[in-house]
Amino acid sequence: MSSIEFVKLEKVYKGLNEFCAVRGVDLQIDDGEFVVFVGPSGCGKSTLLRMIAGLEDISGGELYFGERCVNDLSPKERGIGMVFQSYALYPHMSVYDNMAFGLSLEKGSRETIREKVLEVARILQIDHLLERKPKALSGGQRQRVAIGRAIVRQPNVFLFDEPLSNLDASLRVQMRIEITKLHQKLKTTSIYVTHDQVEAMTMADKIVVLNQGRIMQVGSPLEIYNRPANTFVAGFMGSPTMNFIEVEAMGDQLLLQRDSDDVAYSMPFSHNGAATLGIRPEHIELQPQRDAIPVQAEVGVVEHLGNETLIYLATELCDQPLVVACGGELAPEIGSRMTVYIPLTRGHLFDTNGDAVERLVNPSLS
Amino acid sequence: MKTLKLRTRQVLFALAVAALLIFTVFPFYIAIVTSMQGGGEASLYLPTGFDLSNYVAVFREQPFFRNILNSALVSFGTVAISLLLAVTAAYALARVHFRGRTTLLLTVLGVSMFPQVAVLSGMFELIRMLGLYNNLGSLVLSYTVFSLPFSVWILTTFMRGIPKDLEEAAIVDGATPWQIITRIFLPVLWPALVTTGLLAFIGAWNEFMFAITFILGNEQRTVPVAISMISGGSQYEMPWGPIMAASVIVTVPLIALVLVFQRKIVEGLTAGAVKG
Repeated sequence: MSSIEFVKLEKVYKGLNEFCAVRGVDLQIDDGEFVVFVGPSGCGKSTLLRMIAGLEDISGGELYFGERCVNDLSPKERGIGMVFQSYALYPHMSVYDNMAFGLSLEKGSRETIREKVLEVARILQIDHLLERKPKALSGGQRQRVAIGRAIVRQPNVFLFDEPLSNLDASLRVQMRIEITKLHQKLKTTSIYVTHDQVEAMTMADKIVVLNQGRIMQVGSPLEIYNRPANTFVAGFMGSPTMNFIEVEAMGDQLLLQRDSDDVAYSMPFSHNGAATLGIRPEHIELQPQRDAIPVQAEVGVVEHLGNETLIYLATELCDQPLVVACGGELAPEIGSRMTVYIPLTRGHLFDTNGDAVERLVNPSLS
Repeated sequence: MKTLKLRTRQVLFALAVAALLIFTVFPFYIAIVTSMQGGGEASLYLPTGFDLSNYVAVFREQPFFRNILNSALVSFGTVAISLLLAVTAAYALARVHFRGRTTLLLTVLGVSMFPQVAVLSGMFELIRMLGLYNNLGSLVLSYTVFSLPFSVWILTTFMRGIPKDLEEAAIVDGATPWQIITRIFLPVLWPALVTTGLLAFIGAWNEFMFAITFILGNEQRTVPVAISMISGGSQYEMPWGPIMAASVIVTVPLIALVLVFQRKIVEGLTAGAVKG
């Protein structure tokens, strides 16, 4: 069990062109937390994970496990357990031997090793598979063995490198729940890397959003979702993506860039100059609202998901279609005209740098 | 109509297979048949009897058992040294990124295209300088040199196919590099090692030119040369019987080895072809 702290962690790949994969990352992780690193491909999340594991050298800054600076320690000395994306099970060894490998290197007695392996196998429900080789297992079973191998050495920190990406959708949901339950049971500090925001939202105590080697925002899932710190986080988390509209702000008044009117709307922000208004598809209303911007639109594409319907509208507000998410019973005709309403109390405002502007009055987070 | 076409195709296919079979097995069949006959006659196609006197003669006329032992010593020695050098070289070539890596691999391949005869005189000087003339060590050295190119190639390809995170998982589990090599790499590499080992063994076992050039005495001779020296009743007679008997004795272990390891050989040769 330990807390983790990054102080200005950096990773630079030297070669023909110097490439800075991780730039000056500072982060504090509490003991027992389940932290998810999320971000698009190439953002540096896997590199960061490998630096914590000890599989990559740290180019700059310090990494602390509790009070210890672990920059120069090997993975074994750091006391980490890791689950790889491809599971990396030893193909020539049985499930039992795979899980016992790390322990057998520590030269414990046969009985203690056997006890520990059987205990973990029981928790993960793979005790009937102990004699099989990895090639005789299904994807989900292999994944459990990989997790078992990491758990059995009782490490201080668990590291997961996109473990669910190789599984099919339904299995992914199942394993997600199992990993969460496991964490509730074992309470080990865990760091989980994924590009899937659903996994991030459902599993994390704390989410760290990364882009191009930098931390974009750190917070609880709902914080990240409801109060994104910049346009990147706002656009990355949430599916379908948040709608972005270019606007002009004057004090607490909002001016849209469309020819038909010069109406100013009052908004719960205070800003001057060009800005970006963000509104999530599920917050756009189909009924008239107070303090909401009415928008005339033409239906472009309709996607029926069953539980909800996504409507892509062509509007004067912006070049991209405006996406609206509404109840599954609705089935508007393509080409028909409709009016939607953008409630500014649920909107987000971002300045020209992409950073969020502080909301003046907190909307109810229901 | 369709059935006739199909039938014709099947018959032609069977004929082709039969032709291939006869082409490959016939020489060995002749050897066995001839070895069971007496006298200096050329081969008859059907066995006339079951006479083992040629086999006895082979061991009586020359120190054949000693020759087999020499061949075995040289071949196993070649395999051991080749594999050791090739595995370590393959690890560096497959895993470590250094400048000139591709050039080095291509050079290794290029060297393997040299005909033996071209390097014979050079090798002779080298052997004499090292004081290995008439010594089995000269053969081990020469055969290792010629078996390294393909050994390195096969093992490098195979190593490339081993995923990197297998190694990393072992590091995370706390294995030292030696433990990684012995407990993870070697067991996984086993098919490739068998293939390479067998190919090196067969090459060393059957080699003639260096063996006849570097070895002088009867006691130090290896089997291919010993067989060529088998003499008959008079200088006008070719002692086909004993020659064939010796050949059969010498080929049977190789065939046995290949049959035992055939699956591993195919695995080794096709390793890395498909990403698993």
